[in-house]
This record gives sequence, C-alpha cells and structure tokens, in this order.
Amino acid sequence: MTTKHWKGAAMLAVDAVVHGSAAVERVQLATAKRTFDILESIPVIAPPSALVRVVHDGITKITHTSIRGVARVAAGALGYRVADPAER
Amino acid sequence: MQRALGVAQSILNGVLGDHLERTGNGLALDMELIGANDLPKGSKIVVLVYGLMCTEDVWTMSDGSDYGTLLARDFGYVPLKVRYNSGRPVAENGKELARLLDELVTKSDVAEIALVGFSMGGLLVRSACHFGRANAQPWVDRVKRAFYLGTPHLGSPWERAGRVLTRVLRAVPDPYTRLAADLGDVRSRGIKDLGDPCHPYPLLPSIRHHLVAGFVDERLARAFGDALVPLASGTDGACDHPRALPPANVKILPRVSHLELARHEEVYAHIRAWCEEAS
Repeated sequence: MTTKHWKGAAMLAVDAVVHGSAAVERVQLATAKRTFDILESIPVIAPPSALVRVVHDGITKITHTSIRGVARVAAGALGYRVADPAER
Repeated sequence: MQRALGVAQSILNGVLGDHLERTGNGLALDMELIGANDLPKGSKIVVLVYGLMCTEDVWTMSDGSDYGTLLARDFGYVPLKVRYNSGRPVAENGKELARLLDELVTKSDVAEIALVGFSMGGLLVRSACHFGRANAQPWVDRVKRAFYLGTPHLGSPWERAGRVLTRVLRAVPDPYTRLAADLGDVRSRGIKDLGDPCHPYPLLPSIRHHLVAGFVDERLARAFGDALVPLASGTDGACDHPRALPPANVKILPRVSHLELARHEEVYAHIRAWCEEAS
C-alpha cells in the first residue's frame, strides 16, 4: 500500500463516519418520535414528555454533530473536504 | 498480500467507484492499458477488458495462460489488459477506453485490434466503439472483431431486483427500512447501469461481433443463465430472435458459470475458430 492508498482509506473512513452518523441520527430521531408522539398524546404526561423530547433530540443532535465535526477536522488534516450528507 | 489488496481495491471500486472518483480518493483506479508500453509499430493487438469488481487475474487459466497469451501464440496478437474503475458509469469508462485506444493507435500505428470483453467489460467495448465512431477516431476502423463473454447486453435481473427492493424498502414508513434502502442505494453507478434493459449503443456493423454465453442448469438456463447473466441478455436477444445476429456468431455453453467464461478452454476454442475463419 502506498501513501496515496492509506490516505484514500482514511478518507473513506471519514466518509463512512460522516454519512453513517447522519443516517443513524435520522433513525434515532425518527424512532424516538414514535414513542414521544404516543406519550404526548396522553394528557397527564404530555408536558414532561415534551420536555424530555427536547432534551433527547438535543443530545442526539449534539452528539452526532460532534462526531461529524471531529471526523471533518480529521479530514481537514488530510486536505479533504467531506461533502455534506445531504449533498449525496 | 499484494494480490489480495488488489482484489480488495477492485471490489471497492466496483461497489463505490463513482464515489471514490467524485471525492478524489486515492483508492480509485485510473484506467490503464497494461502492456501498451514499448508496443512495436504496426502490431496486432488484442485488448482484454474485465468485468465488475474483477482484476486482471480473472483471465488466468489453471495453467497460467489466458486468452491474450493464447491469441499471441496462435495469431501473433500483442495482448493488452485494461485496468479500470468498474464503479464508474459504463459510458464514462467507454469514453475513456476510446480515448486510450485512440492515443495508442496514433502513437504506435496499430495494424489491427481485437477486443475481448468479459461481463461488464463487453459493455465497455460497445460504448468505446460507439464513442470512437461518433468522434471519428481512426482506431475503430482497425477493430476487426469483438468478443463478448457473459456480457449482459440486455441488463442484469439481479440489479433490477435490487432497484425494486430499494424502492419497496423506501416506501415502507419505517426508519430502519429506509436506512436499509439508503445502504442499498450506496452501490455504484456502474452497478446501477447493469440494470438497464438494453445497451444504449448498437453493435457497430463494421465489426464482427461474437457472443459467448453460458448456463449452469438447463432447467434454469433461461432465467438465470450463467448464474448472473440470463441467456437472452448474454446473447443480446439472439437466443430468442436468431436473426438478431448470425447464429454462427453466438455460442451457448452448457455447464459454464459466469466467472468461468473468462478463463475456459472451450471459450478459447470458439474464439480461436472464429479468428481462423475470419483471418
């Protein structure tokens, strides 16, 4: 394996992390939405459920954005700009 | 080790080659004509083009020979092997192959060209000839014959099944099935091109075209052919419509699977017979 190949493998790993993280985030938010939609339809627990949803979704987004951010920094060190997952 | 890495790189190119190229990834294979350096002027060349996710090793028979070395021994051809990123769109690879052949013919004054395409490689041969003719490149006039081995001229039902499956998965309102659909759609443009029900460019009438298709099991031959390419696709429809091509130009081999078509003694026997009758 040459340096070019190693760099290519690293770029591919970064792509996998960025796009994989975006896909997993979508699944996590969509799965949680189902549960929260049910909980928020029950009047007694609706208000705390809405609060928990905001916290849950916020943590999920921050976590995945951080993962992608670290991957992008690593990509930057290789001189590689990762396309936004939405650009695919 | 080096060989295993080459195989891994070729598989990666087949699956994600368009992405690798788009992102400038160093793992993307550049197209090259192996054996074209120091080609004597006025040579007869045979160009072997492998299929999806293959390496040049796909041609190697058990005794170490391949169709190229056998054609060199029997007819004096200089064998060249094409290495390329099989995940790129077939038409793009065809254009690139036409460009390389044009450069080679201009540089080395090649006297005659024979093209051998295995599986997707046959589609590249068709595309390259089309673009060569469309751009009035002189190399096309030097092509006397083309051999298509297990080439899915009418597409692959497996890729079409993949398209249907991803569409169905995407239609299900569930995040997990959509994730599965997203993963399915990651496959390369080269793979997706194999689902097209017919090749966009006709066979050039100035070239003698020879098709070889195989089938593994007689009862399943029509639907599954050589296990990857159905008979109708491998023969460009000639098995259903014998007048589509001269019957003598189409051979159907029983008990020969897809990969075996690239390195089978019986296949070479037909190639040799065709070359003898045409020379």
